[in-house]
Amino acid sequence: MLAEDRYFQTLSEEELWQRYCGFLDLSITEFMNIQKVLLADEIERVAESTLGKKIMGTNKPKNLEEFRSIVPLTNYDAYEPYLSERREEVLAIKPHLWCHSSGRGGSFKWVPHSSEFLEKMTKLCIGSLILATSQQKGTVNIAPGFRILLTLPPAPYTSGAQFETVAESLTFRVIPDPKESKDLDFQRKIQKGFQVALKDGVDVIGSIASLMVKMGEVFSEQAQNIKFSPAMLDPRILSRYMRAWIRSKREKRGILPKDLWPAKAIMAGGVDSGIYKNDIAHYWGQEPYNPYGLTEAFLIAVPTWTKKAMVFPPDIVFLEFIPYNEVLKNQTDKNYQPSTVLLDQIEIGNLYEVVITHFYGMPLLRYRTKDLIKVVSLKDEETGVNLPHIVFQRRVDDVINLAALAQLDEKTIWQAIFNSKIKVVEWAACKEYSQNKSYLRLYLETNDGKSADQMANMIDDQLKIIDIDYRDIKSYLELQPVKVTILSPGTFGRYMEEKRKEGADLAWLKPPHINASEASIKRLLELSEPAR
Amino acid sequence: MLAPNPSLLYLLTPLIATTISFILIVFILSQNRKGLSRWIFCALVASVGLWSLFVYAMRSSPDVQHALIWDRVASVAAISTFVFYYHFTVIYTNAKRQKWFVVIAYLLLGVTVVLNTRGLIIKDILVENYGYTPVQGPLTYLLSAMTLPLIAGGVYNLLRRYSTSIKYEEKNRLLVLVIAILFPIAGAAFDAFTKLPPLLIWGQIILCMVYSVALLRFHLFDIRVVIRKSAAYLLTSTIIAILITGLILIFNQLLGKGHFTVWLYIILLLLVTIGVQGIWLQLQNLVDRLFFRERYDFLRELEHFSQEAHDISDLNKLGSSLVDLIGRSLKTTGVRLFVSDEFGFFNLIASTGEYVPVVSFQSNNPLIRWMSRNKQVVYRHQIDIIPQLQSLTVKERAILADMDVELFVPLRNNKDELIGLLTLARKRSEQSYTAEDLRRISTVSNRVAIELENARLYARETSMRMEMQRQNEQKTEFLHHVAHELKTPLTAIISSSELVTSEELMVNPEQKERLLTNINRSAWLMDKRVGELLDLARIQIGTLELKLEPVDVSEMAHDLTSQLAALFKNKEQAIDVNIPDDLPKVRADKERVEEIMINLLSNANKFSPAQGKIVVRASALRNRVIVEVKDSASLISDEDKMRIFNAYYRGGTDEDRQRISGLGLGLAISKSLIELHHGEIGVKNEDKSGNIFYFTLPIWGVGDEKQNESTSSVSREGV
Repeated sequence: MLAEDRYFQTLSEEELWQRYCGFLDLSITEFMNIQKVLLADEIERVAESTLGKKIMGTNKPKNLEEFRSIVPLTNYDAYEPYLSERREEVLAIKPHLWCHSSGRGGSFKWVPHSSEFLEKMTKLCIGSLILATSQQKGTVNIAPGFRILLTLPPAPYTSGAQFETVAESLTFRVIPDPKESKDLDFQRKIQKGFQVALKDGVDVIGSIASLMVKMGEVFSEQAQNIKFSPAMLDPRILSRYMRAWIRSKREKRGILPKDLWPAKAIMAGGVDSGIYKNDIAHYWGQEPYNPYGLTEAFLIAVPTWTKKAMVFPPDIVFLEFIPYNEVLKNQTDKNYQPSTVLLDQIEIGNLYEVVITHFYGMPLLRYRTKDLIKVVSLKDEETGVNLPHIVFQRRVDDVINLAALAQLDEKTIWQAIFNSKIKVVEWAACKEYSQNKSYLRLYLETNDGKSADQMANMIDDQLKIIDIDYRDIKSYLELQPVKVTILSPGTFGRYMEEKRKEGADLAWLKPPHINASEASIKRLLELSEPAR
Repeated sequence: MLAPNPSLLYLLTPLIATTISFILIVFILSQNRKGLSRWIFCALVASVGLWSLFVYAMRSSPDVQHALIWDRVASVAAISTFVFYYHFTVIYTNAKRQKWFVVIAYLLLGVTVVLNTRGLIIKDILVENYGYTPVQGPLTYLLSAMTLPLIAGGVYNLLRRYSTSIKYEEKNRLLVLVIAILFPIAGAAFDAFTKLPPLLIWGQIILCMVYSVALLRFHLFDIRVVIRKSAAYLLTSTIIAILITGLILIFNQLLGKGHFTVWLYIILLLLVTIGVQGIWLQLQNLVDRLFFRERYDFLRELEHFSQEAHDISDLNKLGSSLVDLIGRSLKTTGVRLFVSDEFGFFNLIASTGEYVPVVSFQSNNPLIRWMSRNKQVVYRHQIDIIPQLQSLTVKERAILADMDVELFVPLRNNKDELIGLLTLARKRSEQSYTAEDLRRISTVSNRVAIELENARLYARETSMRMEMQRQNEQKTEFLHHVAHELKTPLTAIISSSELVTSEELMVNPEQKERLLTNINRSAWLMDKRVGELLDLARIQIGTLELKLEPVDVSEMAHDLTSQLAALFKNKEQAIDVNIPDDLPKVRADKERVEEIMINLLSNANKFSPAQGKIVVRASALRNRVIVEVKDSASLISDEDKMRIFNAYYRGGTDEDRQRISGLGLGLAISKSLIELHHGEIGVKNEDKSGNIFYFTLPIWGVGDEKQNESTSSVSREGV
């Protein structure tokens, strides 16, 4: 029996909740105590390693204050070339596995993980599954053998490695079977996943928020004309159709995906999950659950059962936060050493860059993640969780700065496009200049039928509502701050196909939404030419 | 058909069952109303109560027609009992995959209602000599067959959970739930297959009684204790009954049958009962000992231990007796006792079982912290569950794993402070610890805590007395040493001054000059010693002021090594200064830092052998400069490293102390001075090539704001 399966066998529901989600009952003092103890242990372990000495110097910090004053803030370069070359002899302990990022930064970031860390991470992953499937405190709605529909890149990609690690300790079924679907492309994998889920059922669906909505829309349109097929003779499929039909008739609407695939949780990644929250709930019956993860430490924050905001667990990484004004100071003066605060010092409404230090003998110390989070509350009366609640804001650099007045990030622009009701398939945004004045250029793949100026005005109106700083920008710039270029339908698809053929890595198939390279924009425009 | 003439017992038994059921519901809900399983359990007991109530209504009906209606209603309540039972087991054992079976079970209940109205389950009512009895309909047996899977499913769920549960109490609870349901089933089967007076209601009463006793008397319900206790009483009663029967038979034989009327039997019974009171108690004691020997022996041993413990003041001896007692009485493979000392360490005092390396817990260990705040024992499996214990490091977890501990028991003094910790390994029987075991441990821990506290305080007192004695000796030695250090130059001054004024030397200017130089040197040495004492006094009372300015450490190091070059030359020692040119200036009191450097350099000179090598290094790290003086002396022991910066402490061998002069204040003053600069001082020799004395100072200009704040606050305090 697998290790975590045994816990499910022997512990009561209350104990299971305490084991996997009990950290939500900690006070901030208890949280900080755990952090400090584990940090002291980490310092002890890495101090004598080559990489530890490289970062910390020869004088081992004796306490948290010394650690924060002696050890500099680091980035991936500080660990080079050791990590890229996966040199284990420079680490304090032998890692259990190495994972790498999706390569969005231009090259893979290899990060080692110890077995102790993976144990904790597995626990947190199960905790996040429990929270995702719960509507109230103390309810454990999953058990070993649950079914999860998702498509992930294989290990050593972080997300794939994460699931493979969890699978070593807990029995669950991935739909579609990774072995059977390894040769299929992404689209076919998804298709096969839903076919299998129609027969066998599904407990958790994991995907990207916008994709979930897209699938919901397509399905809802097609569901009006469901035709009989031999596959429906399978009693399991037939019963699902029957149930879906009854449910839709009872609620006097057409069949929706939630009728056929009633999942306990929708794990939706991406910054857009907040934007599509209502649509996902409409199509799939559950609000999306989006934990905060990163290559360097897998998951580091998870939403509570209300799915509104996230809470950090205390035993995954040591957490520090750089206040946003310090981040900006550092951006203007690279030699400036920004100061950090701890979790018990953060303030509501403020933005912070997350700084992590590994626990359990792994090498990253005071590592800047370049992720900005926003503190939404210091505790939640509704849930009784007395720890700070945060939401992921954006990457530090994923922002378009207009005349130093407004900072538009991916989430804001996406929200504005969404609220404008323009039917956009894909988009990219960058900053352009006209008469030495900056403006936002949006490349929209759409067949909405409106003119580019009309769309620019609609998005401009929405940005004014969403972003307070943006409101006055028009009078300052004396020009329309948003300009739109329409890309013909299929442009992004063609771009991705081209990249796939070139053998580009998964994360490079699609240009980033914010600040895509000039070459990518140029290529998009070229691919869009025939229809323009 | 005419109504029967039922007996009072026949009528009252369902009412008794109903009353017990509803009292039970009130009790359950008054304790706690949270949790679906609690509510479903209440529904189960309520349906038993209603079932009995409807049976009462049937039995007390004026005619067969009424009785038939009530019996049909009662049969619905009967089915609902089994449906709720199954539903309860699904929720209680978290068998969520069976939720569809629960739906089916409720459908079955609905079907029962419909079938009953058609007379397919209870067809009619017959009148027997004891009262009404139902006539089963054509579908009764089918319905019973459909009900059986519900009961079987419920029992299966409970037994499945029983097999995986690691908790003794939970296992008992599950066993109770399984056993209790068998009584109404047996009653129902009896009624269905025999023509005898109905027993079903008795089954229900027993079910409710079992639940009541479980909840009220034993709280967690140890079924084995109940069985044992019942057996014990049964045996005692049988012995008494045999005795009484024997007596009756003897009297019968002696006096003849005809002479014995009922009232005479009663009188005889009363007399025998009064007469055998003493025998009854003795027998009861005997049977108790037979069935509860472990507990009996334990209590005796505990009593014996308590008497002994009063006379034991040695903590280790007391600890050994305690762990022996617990080890024996609970039959564990190992017991360990940890008691806290004055430094906050919980040290292993005594142990039984397999050998384990001596370990101690620090007071900041998460487990100790948790136990300080929470009074209950901690089971091993809870270490993986309690969130506050997630800060246990791998090393700490490994130690706990090595110790093979099953249970951690806190020991508290009368102020409710955690003073010790008992750890219990597995039981020899491989069973888990029972509620009874926990009660025993609790009894022991409460009783011994006071004795332990006394012994602990006594041990601490003894240790403090020894420490004070040591300090006293050190002080006496120090005074002796100060007198010696001051007397030596003073003697030189007196003798030289006497000589210089003597007539025979008045004419020899060279000798006179030498004597004057001698007087001067001795006076300076005295000044230095007095200065050291004054510095220490200033630091201690907080009147030492620093004149902070930018100081070039590199320049200072080069200057000082040149000044002291003669010292090193005398011992043919090589001195190497290795400081980068671009080393930033530090924020310090130049004179004081020079004092520290001279102290470290002269120590290096004193303790390094002739032709040894001394290295002075400095480097910048973040906002500090680290200065190091490395000697080639013999390595300072770890014990000395801890004491070397204490005032009056003079490290090294006795020979070193005789050979090298000094008050043992230099490093203590240096430490205080560095701390006033917000720096740090220490010694390390991990690479075994010599001792490295290092100190850190803040870089001038980095974080001055903060420094100013702290300096000014220190100034206000008069330092």
